[in-house]
Amino acid sequence: MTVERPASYIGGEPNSVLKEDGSFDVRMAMCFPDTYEIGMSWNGLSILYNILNKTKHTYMERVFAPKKDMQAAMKERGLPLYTLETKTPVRDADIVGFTLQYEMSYTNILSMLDLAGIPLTTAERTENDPLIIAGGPCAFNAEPLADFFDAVLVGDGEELLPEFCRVYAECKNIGLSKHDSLLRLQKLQGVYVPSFYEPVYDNDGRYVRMEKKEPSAPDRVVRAFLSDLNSVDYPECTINPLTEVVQERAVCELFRGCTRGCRFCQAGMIYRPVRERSKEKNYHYAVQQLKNSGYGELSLLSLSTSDYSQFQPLMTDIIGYCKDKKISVSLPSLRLDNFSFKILDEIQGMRKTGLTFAPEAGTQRLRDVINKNITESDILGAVDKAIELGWNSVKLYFMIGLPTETDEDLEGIADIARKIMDLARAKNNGMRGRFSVSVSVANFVPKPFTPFQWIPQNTPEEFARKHDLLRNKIRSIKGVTLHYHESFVSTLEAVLARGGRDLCAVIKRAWELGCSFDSWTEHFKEDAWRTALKECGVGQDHYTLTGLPVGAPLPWEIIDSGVSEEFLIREYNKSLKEQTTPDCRHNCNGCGIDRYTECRSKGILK
Amino acid sequence: MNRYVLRFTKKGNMRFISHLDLARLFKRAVRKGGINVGFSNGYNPHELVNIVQPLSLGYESESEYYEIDTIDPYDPQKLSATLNEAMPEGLKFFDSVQTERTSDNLSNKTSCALYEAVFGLKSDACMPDLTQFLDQERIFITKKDKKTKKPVEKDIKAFINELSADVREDGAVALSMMLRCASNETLNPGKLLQSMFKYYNLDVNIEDCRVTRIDLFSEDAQGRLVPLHETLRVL
Repeated sequence: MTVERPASYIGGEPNSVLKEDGSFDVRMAMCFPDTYEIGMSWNGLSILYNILNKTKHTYMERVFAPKKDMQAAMKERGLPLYTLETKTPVRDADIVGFTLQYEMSYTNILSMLDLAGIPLTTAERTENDPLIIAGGPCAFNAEPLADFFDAVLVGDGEELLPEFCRVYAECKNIGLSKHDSLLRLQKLQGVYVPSFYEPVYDNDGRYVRMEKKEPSAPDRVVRAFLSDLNSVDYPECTINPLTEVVQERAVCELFRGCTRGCRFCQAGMIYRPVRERSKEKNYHYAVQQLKNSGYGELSLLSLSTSDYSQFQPLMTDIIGYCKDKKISVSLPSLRLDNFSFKILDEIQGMRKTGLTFAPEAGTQRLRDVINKNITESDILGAVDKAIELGWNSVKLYFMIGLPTETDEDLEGIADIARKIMDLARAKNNGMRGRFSVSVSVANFVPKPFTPFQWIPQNTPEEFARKHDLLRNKIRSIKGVTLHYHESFVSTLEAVLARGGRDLCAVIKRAWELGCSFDSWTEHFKEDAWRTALKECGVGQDHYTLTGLPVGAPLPWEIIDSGVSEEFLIREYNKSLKEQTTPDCRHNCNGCGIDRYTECRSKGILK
Repeated sequence: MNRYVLRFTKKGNMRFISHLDLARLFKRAVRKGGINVGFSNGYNPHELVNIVQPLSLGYESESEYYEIDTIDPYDPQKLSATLNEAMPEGLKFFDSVQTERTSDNLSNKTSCALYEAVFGLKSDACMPDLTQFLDQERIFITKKDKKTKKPVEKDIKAFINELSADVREDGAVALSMMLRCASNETLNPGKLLQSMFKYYNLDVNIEDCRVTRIDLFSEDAQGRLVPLHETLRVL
């Protein structure tokens, strides 16, 4: 065969939607800027695909980034990028939407537009080109991609996207120009039209303020809020890929948002407030998805699964359904209290996979700084119990480069691993047996809309020094392995995450220099990225080393995430004083989200 | 436990589905259809199902075989109908029987596969008589060594049972190939085509050949080749 995995380019999967009668007004090409195997595992696609294809006005079709061999084959044959459902050229769609899930997928957006034969920037495109839009978590700061998108949808998409498509269908049917359509679309809460604004920079290349070019554009764009998860459809039926994808399983999102308030966590801030789906609905969707797919695995998704208010009764029902059908249940993001253990023991039975903890930092002091409210005795107590129940591997997740971190905190990482091994040995008559601990350290990337949005990031050299230090500490502990990431990738993530519009040129230049699939180690081109930054005169230091002074203008300030800046500053100051903030369910911490939408979790456990 | 043998076709875009992906797709269809399939014993129990001989990526088929052991008895026709409900376009179960449950599966009974390859020739070329090619003392193909990954030459003369060409009215050539297809020795028809094109200096791109597996065959006591479905002991 000319290309690897041809099955990812043919469509026709069971449960994919064909709207053959052409009765829709808008054809939307939903693009995931990475491979089929990764994109098909994204739950948001199932949610939006289901909702949009139930509307009369819109037909949503899927597009993924073809791998490099397929891109070359398509170029050689003059075959433009097409949708999987109907093989329609993407350039013939009315709306082309990209999801922004992670920064290192950005160059693939340019590859896909190029492969589709669509001019890259808003300025170059004409009335004959589709409307190019974006959404997803990274859309909260889409400035580094602002030149490429006609509109950016910020916040929950379940209600906003169908409304956007409906309004655009109206605009299209009465023959409005793109500009006039955008004037209407920007009235929807959560819609940001980058070309209606222009950032102003000072002589040092620092962002100063946003200037409006279109008088009717809002001063700030407030994100879209879905007030009730129960009021929108969740898929009962998901597309079953014909070739193996990363996550091949039924997925039920129990709730959105998180009350824990970890200060490094962007998801915990931008998905506020907590919105639960009812136990009955969750059970219904989980069972329907299993029935309609034939999957042998169910994953219950959320940011902190055991915080679901109906966790115990729901799990009892779900385990009752899955047990004799040999369906395995996975529970990511679980806090290991007694009940969770009972559940895990029951669902994993004889085949115990690894147990995962995310202490994130090596000492209690640093965990207080980041507000990760888990103690060493929590971890050791849980491990103790896990060993008794028969687990023999533990995974630990940490971050390095956190604010105020010292080498002592790094040594704390090795200490936790050592204490776990000691515990395992003590429980096993002094023998290690098959017990193992895997330590993964991620390089901390400060993200916008978090209390750490201002802080400087470690340099790649500093990260490398810390990796060495950890390697030396951990090498001597038998049974413990260490995993870490490429440092410059993390630098780039921070640059792109906190970048302004001056980065559009950098991304374009890097792409011209051959960068794509940057999240794939084998494709990442450090030199090309460095060249692009240099050529475009963007000092990466602006965005990484020096950090940003609290109170200074932020390149992404045009977006209002719902969480107030006062709250973020308060949390930042508390972190420096090593003060923790309680879970919102114990006490409302005044994040400001209730200025826009009802928060049902404040103080409910008081 | 009950054993069923189901035949299916694999056509159109489904030629791009690999053997392992197909196995996964069928297992999901079994689960989705609520079929009470048997499981192996052991630490990692797996479904008692078997796709009889893997079909290489890119080829279509008129007749593939799927074996399935179930705990409950089923009407064989209903079983294929249930699975068909979960099949994408291009995959279809069409003939199903209940057979005796032996420790052996059909993979071990298969000895040959019949393929048809259709391709066009350049206007100035004509299809040569294949006698000369077949009369070579040895017929070589190049394949990758499984361990070293280096290309090695292999004599496959013994793997060719029959080879004949038929030039159709539209000028396309239809090549009929009965080739060895057993668990330990298998000849991929594409490899034979490449070897033959090279021998006669024919300028044909292997990717432009449409290859279809017609059926799988078993050898009877007299050494005759019989289609697998005719050898089944139907209950």
